[in-house]
Amino acid sequence: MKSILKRALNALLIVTLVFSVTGCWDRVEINDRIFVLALGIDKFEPGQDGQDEEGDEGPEGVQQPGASPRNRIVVSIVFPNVGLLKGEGAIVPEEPKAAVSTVGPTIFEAMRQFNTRLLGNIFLGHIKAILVGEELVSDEKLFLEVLDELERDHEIARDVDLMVVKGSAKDALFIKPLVEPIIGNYIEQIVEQRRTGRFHSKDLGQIATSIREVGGAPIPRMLVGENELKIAGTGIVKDYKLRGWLGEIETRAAQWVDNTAGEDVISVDISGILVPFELTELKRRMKVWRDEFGDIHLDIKLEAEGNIEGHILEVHRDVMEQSFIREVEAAVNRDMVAQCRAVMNKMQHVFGVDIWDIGDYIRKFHPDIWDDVKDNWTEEFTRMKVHIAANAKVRRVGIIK
Amino acid sequence: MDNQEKITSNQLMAIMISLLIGIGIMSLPRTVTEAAGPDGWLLVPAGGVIVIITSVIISKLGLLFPGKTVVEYAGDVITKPLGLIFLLGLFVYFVIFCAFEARVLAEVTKQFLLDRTPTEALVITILLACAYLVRQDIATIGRMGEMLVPVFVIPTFLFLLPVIPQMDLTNLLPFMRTPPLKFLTGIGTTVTSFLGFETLLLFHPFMARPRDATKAMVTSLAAVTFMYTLVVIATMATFGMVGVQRIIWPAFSMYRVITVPGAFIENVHGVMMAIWVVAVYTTLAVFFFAAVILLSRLLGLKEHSFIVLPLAFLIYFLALVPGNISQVYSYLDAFSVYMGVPLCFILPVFIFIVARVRGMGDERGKGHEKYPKKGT
Repeated sequence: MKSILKRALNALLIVTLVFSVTGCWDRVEINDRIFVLALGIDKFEPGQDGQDEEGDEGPEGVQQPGASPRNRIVVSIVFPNVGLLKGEGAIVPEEPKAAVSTVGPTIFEAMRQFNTRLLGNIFLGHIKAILVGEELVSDEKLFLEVLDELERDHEIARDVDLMVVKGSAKDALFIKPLVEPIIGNYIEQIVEQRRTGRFHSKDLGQIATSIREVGGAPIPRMLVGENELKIAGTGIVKDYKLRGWLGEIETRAAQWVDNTAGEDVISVDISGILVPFELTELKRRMKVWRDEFGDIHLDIKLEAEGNIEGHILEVHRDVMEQSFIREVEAAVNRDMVAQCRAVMNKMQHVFGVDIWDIGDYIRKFHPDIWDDVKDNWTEEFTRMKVHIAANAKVRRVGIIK
Repeated sequence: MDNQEKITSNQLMAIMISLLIGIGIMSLPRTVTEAAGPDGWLLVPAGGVIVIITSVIISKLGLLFPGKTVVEYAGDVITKPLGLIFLLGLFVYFVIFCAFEARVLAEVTKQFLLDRTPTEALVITILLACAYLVRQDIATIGRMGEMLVPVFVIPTFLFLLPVIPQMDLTNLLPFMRTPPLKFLTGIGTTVTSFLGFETLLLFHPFMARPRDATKAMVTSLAAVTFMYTLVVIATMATFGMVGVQRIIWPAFSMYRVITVPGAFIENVHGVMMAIWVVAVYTTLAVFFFAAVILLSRLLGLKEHSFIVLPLAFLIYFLALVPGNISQVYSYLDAFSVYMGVPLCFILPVFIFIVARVRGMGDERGKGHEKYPKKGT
């Protein structure tokens, strides 16, 4: 009798445990999750799409937001239509992705507003790219607030790509790209292939750290077309706000100096003929020293390797000739040095931003110099004497002579 | 004493490793970098050496009084009232430490994984799981350690590998530019992340071969020092000196940057989180066990299991005292410095010196002959 009672009690205990212990406050079914793939944040400009003083929140297009102290930023998200990908559901939505946008005072309050019209739990753990609008980055206070919110959130990884959009980030997320329909993946794939040095990649963690440390950072630039996105050029942030842009060629040169450039092609002028030189390898050596007058010198040496990719059909000079190859090498050297010098000048004398973290390099490798210059590094950076040299080597010339 | 189960030297090592690796490792990269900048990682081996020396002294102290825990000999060495104060202090310290472990565990899991689960539920769950283990004897805890140590040690190293491409070791430069005084005070903050080794004061007589304790302690503490140093270096290399100082749990955030190429599920930090919960569980259980053993010996109890649950409730309420995460850490810092350092470093060494000066104890280790050598 006793053992039956005991068994019954045990069984009861197990049943009770099954129901009481497995309870979970945080359970979210995977199909109830909205996997945000890209996040866009813009500064709200009243009247930008027709003004209505009444509605201060809500979906644009349904109710036009007006000027209000609560309307500070526009938050847009893109997420894949999981229903379509699974091929399930009574009515399969047509679009592979959906983009929505709302106006709100802060990112996370705006996010909550999405819950008035979206079904599911907005999940930021899979974000591939964060786009910030040009106007937002030009507003010091808003930009710093947004950066802090993004960095503080535990779902957003620190290594997600951050870009500044020329124009508005919302527009970038609402286009229908020709090549890869889902925008977050689209951006991520462009960044990952790195077939050119015309843009650089910086992630949220690097940008936030750099802005906190020195007040400035280079942020990759995104341009928005009808149905494509283009990542090229750089936005320069100094003293916590956007001060200007570097073009694609300048960005490429900046990356040569930074030693982060990928492969690329530069066309050099050889007596009136443009010869494309494919850069397959590039190494940069950097040296900082101080002369007897206390001036700081920076030596930059670029070691390049590559191939000649074209000349002119009418053969008046043989590409296999050593003298021609020397000439190409000299032209490549000249062009690379000129481009690097131009961007270095711009950073030193126009913007006054140390986008290459040369200060950090000095702190690490020349702590004695750093102790003297760290208090007014920005000024020292603009006064620094820079010597740039390049040494290009042609390795191959293609398959015809 | 003889009716108690004994632990082997391997089990002592497992207990120590599982005990030391707990809540500290997640914030350690931040605290050392705040203390000494790019030289922060050097503080870890420096602190480790101090801890190893102290633990050797504690195990020598144990050898002086064979078969006795600190509860029995503290009163003899530094007079009854002083000994009582020391033991009560140690007890309070163990209990509060348990409370911190439970609370930080709850805070971190709430932040990263379970935002809506109440703190109370998280604390109760882990405390009940520990209480179940603590009701057993030390041999069970030793076996648990042997089982669980690989569970959290191996992945900690394994998951460092995919982070390597993100690391920039120049972040550790410049080398040795910290002013010596700043460096020395920095060591003070590091040693607190090794707190837990002082439980040897209680565990020593449970050793099957007490003479092996010293070697086991040195080995396990060196292993922990190595692991801490590696994690600190990896974290600093990943985030840079300034980046690390901004992140509350840098070691976690480091595992957060791992992405498995091509996989849709790419956040390994969930796995790391679960593994870390195991590490905290073992820490909490051993501290809890130490508190229980100390109290039961102090009260002269023959059986310790029935004080476990009341103590669990005490720990539960203590864990909920701090109002927010910032309070948790400011209390924890004050607690480690003002209770941890005197109770674990200063007083044990003091007791050892007094015992030697007064010529007490069994210096030649004759008492150990009572304990025949068993195969370990």
